[in-house]
Amino acid sequence: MADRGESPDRREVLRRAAWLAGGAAISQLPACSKSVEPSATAAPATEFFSADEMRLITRIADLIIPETDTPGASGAGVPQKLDEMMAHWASEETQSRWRGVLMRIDRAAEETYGKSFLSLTPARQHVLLRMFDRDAMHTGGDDYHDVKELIVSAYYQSEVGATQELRFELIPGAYRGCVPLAEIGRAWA
Amino acid sequence: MEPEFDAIVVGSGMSGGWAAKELTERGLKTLVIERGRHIEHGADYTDFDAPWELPYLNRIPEDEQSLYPFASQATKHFRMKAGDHPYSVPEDRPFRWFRGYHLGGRSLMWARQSYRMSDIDFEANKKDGYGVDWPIRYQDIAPWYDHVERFAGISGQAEGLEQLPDGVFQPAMELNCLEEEMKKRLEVAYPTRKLTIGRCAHITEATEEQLDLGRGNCQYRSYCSRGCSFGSYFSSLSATLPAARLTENLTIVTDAIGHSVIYDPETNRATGVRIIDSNTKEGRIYTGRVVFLCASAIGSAQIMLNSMSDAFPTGIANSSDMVGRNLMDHVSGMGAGGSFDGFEDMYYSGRRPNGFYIPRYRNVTEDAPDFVRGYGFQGGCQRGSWERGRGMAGIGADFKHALRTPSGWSVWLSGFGEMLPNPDNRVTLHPTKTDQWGMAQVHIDCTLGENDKKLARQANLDAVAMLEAAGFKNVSARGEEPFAPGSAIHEMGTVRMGHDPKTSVLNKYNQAHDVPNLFVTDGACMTSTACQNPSLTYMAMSARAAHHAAEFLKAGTI
Repeated sequence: MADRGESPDRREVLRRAAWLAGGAAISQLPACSKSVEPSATAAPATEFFSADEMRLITRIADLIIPETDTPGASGAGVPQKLDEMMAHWASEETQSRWRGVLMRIDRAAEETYGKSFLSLTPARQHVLLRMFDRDAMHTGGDDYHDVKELIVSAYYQSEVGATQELRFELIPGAYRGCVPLAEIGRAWA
Repeated sequence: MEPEFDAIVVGSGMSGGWAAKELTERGLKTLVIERGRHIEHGADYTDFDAPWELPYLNRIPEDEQSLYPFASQATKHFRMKAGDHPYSVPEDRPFRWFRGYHLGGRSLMWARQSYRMSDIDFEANKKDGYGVDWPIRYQDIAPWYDHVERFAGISGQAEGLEQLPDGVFQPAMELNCLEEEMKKRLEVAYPTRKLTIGRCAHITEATEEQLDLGRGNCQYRSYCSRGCSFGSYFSSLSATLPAARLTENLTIVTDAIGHSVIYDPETNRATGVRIIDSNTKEGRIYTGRVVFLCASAIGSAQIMLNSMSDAFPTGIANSSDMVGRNLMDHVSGMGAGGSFDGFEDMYYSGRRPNGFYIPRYRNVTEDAPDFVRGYGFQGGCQRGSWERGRGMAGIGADFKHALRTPSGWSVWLSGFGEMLPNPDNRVTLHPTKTDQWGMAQVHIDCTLGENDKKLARQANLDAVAMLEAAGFKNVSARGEEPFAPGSAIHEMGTVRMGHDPKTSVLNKYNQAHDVPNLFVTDGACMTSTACQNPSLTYMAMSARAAHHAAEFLKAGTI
């Protein structure tokens, strides 16, 4: 798995962190805030996430559901779906909670390794997110739950996730009540 | 002035569709009035949308969610916007009123479970003294059950049970491995109880008649709530209205809200129906020789109460003061769930839009501790899929790989109990509040009685005991308290049938005692609820009443 995240402009990350630290100010943000400074890496056009946020959420989604013998989150178009969901589906409150989670993950990287999350090696990113995920999933009501929930849903409801990773059929045509699992092989017949 | 139509049917749902089919097939020029908008079978459905084609992962935008409770992107088109159609309830007595205001009504939103009532049900009121006696018995309606089942297409398994008569069945759907095992263990533990595959209005072996209407076999997608382009499950749009259209005797007017029935005291007849155009808010009158109210239990009662005249100051055909009274719904919210160790190597293929059914046994083959009547259970066994990943810790290849395999087996049981008639459970017209068309809103005052609550408690105990006896683990009951009435979406009883014009509104032909050319054939007519899902009975009642209305018209008696 190639680590596609090049080091983002750390000053930008920190500047945004300071800017958003108030929390309440988040809802004042325009829905389509773009990164102020052009970044070194071309990010796909986004409606909600800044270029930096898009790189971060893409990396997080790919760490949760990586490419294996089937495509992972990026290969299934999950980051673009998340951007669309945030721009058109999410309430302002949800939008700010998502930004808060991204910030917390970056802050965890800063606190642990003194670097932004995207500056870390893939191995460290994996370790850090695994710990973050474990702690957050065991804490009731952590906003990360909603982020993970949507990443997982977006993947398995994508054509790649549903039909390549799993065994979804739009029109099964028949129902067989008793089939050896080995015959189907995977979930979601 | 000659009437414009032979028959006017108010409502195009389960009952209205059947009334229209039977009336038109008997040569009557029939007008169907529907308050909701037109929906085109197939074209207006979302059942071919793959998960990745539905907007926003099939979720309603968060800021709109309060406007469309219980809806997804795929079902939003069959849901009303909250606040568009208000009704009132007393503060401490909630009633949930789910409606489907579009052509086809709730026949596009139903769960398709189709069960016959038996003489145990038709005799119950007379035997234990609650409510009034049904003016019919099973033999009166049995041929009509045959008739509607043959046309609709009901798949199921004959079991020879006195409390759940067998019908005209298409081949039954399969139980899965664990359901078969559960059936074995349950029937050993409780020799007089039975687990059978759900009897559902899905075609499994299409007849010529069904194929001719463009209907085909179930494709096991389980997208029924989006509408079925294959016409596999029975709805007004897939079956009855197309059949009625073929006669060339059918006229449909949508966006027409039933306001009142017009009454002529000189002839003691209903002469037509006043409607309000939902778009322009203007009133119109349609005239006909016979009027069928099929606007749902609360809707039909509302129209009757709103049909005031010197002869009927409290609403048409209401000399008994029973119109709007005895509102019932099935007692619901009981049941249990659990998990099962085993069959990890077994799965199923296809998405079966059906579960199993445990027919009533209380006060049939087994006594009840402290209540009359009884309940049945619907349920199913399944394995979870990727959805568990949404709340599961873990990331990376291991996490992804774990979700490839379905999770362990689980079971759910959901009880539906009989609710007793009570004249104080009542629909009235609100004295001051009106809707956006200036019609009086309904006020619904309905609450569960002692027997209903006792029955619910025992249903929970039974559900837990049955699952434990069948070897399930981690068994827990669904909830302490049953849901508020209305939640089962089986509301009925507001214009009940009976022998006596003093205590009931309709006679044995669903004909108003007071006004002989007025018929009510939806859930309003029900003298008791039984515990079976009621739609099949509404179908049979509607077809039977339409047959008799046509006969009476021919004979010149109405």
